[in-house]
Amino acid sequence: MPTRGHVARELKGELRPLIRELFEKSSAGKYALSEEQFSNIITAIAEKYLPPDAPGSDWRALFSSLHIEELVLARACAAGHERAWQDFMIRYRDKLHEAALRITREDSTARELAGSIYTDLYGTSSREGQRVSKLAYYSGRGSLEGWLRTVLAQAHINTYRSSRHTVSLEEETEAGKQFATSPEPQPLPSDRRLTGAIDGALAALPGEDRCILSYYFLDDLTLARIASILRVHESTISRRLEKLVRALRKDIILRMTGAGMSRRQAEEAMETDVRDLGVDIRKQLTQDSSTPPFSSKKIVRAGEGQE
Amino acid sequence: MQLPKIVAARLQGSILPEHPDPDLLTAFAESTLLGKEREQVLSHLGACAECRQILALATPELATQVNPTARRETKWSWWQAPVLRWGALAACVLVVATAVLMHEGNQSSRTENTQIAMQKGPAPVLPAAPPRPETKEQAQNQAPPARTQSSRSVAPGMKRVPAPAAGAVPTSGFNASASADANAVNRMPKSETVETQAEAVAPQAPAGDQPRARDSMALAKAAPVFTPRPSMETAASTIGGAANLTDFRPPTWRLSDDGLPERSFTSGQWEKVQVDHKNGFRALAALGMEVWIGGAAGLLYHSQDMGLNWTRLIPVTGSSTLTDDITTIEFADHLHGKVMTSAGQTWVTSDAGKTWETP
Repeated sequence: MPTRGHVARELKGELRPLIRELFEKSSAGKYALSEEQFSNIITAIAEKYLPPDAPGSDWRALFSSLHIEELVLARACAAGHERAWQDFMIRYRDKLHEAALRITREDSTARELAGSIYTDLYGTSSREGQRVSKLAYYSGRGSLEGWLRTVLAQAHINTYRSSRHTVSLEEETEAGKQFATSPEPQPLPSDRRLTGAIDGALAALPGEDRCILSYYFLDDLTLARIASILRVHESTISRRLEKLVRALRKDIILRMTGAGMSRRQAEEAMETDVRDLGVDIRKQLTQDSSTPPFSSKKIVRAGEGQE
Repeated sequence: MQLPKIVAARLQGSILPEHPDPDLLTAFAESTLLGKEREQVLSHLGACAECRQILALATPELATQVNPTARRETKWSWWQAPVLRWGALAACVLVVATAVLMHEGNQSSRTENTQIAMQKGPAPVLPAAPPRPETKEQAQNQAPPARTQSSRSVAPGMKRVPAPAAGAVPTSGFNASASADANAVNRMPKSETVETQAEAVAPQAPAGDQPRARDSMALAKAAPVFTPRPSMETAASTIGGAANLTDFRPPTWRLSDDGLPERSFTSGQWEKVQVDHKNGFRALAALGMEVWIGGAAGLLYHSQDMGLNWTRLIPVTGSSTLTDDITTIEFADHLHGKVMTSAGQTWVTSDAGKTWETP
């Protein structure tokens, strides 16, 4: 059976004309990146994102969708190419600061955040004697500007989490927090038919529906904001949300009646105060949820490793 | 809209798979992920508050910034107070009634100063409209609640052109919508055909343009839409698999069992294409890079770029709108085509869906 590397080598031969064309488009020569190096970079990206048995058409589609010029710039920066750094700074310095300002909404914090990102982008840590730049993880699936915004957002959240440990008592009190955390309450036994029905109905939802529900009901985002994130119109989200809530409710009641509850019992159970049930909301809120406080664990993205 | 608390609580508890990397999140935010990858990211986002947060922070806001914590606080405008609304209406009625009475009184009394009164003319009839808004926010709050064409969305990245004067015939252009003022359609000279209303669906704006799009969102309500016709090179390079344009062949299309369009660039490899998060389409026609799909209740979409961007078409003729189920779509070329409905009607266009006739 052919190995993945073997398949990649075969495909690489088949895709050679396309790779050459992309190489010429990418201005890689400007940063002294050879065609072979370029080919290795995009092949590694395809191997990362495509399943082992992906056909050649998928490889072609992926290659063609990459932001090749930005990818080359990022990789040249990661390799320490001086001209690439100059180009990067000219093109992205202001954008980085603007994005940081949009995230933090405060100029000095924004400068601090952008500064910390520069350090990561330049690469201070070393692996096997080599400087590791965060730009080496950019793979061109989205725009470099968008990627930088995402990295900034991630860094901001991580900074927020780590700073939580150094917040003064006064600040905590002002923020309405208690001096000491009370011991976690023992969950009360809940009706398994209810929780089972809810879990089943939620699990049956398509990813996008669940995402919309979470953004609206857990993260308290506005319809307009959800719409801008998902690139649809606000009214689409509004209609969809209403339909979703109705359908979800119906599905849960159906599942509960299917499990032996009467309709009235099922409807009453839906309105039960969550505090009376064995759902540990406090724990889940501090672990998973959303708007402050952030979880204290640092986010490490797939493929980046520990930093 | 209320979600039972217990359901919201269960929504949070999930086992999280591996986080998608920033590249995938960025590609998702820029709507460049297709098919399975997009589904995977969406599924993850539904369960992972951290990634939702990152995405929300990283995505530039297109609309006016709203404090997330104030979500459920309804925006208040003085015009929304019922007393003021009804009061203004009553005042308008009073003015109209007074004007009518004065006019009649002047005619019946036939006094010596009749001629002078007539020279002044009848008192103006004031329309029952709210006072002129002082801010953009007030203007938005006073927008009519009815969903008219003028309230349809114009997505970011789309070029805007000034709204034509009321009653003017809209300019040509495949996706040019009718005048922003819905009444303009009624004021047009009567003819067999009128302009089709068009609604742009989820075009992809370059990230750098989004802050500008935020400002232009306010203009969306009054501006017609114009989508520049994408070049084959743009569409091909975006969709992928077609970098060598001399070898490029448009995809084959079909409808899936659940009524979603599917395209194939290579034989046997089908991928589903999302159209405004809708499914249940029943009819499809494809011609080169152009694709049309239709479904229940007159749902009709058109793509000029092999399914990358879709434009909603709402065929209207005279006073009737296509609301029956679309069963067949046929296009001889990118201009001339017809749509057949479950009610046996045939709607014909000879200008790429801009205007329609029912012979």
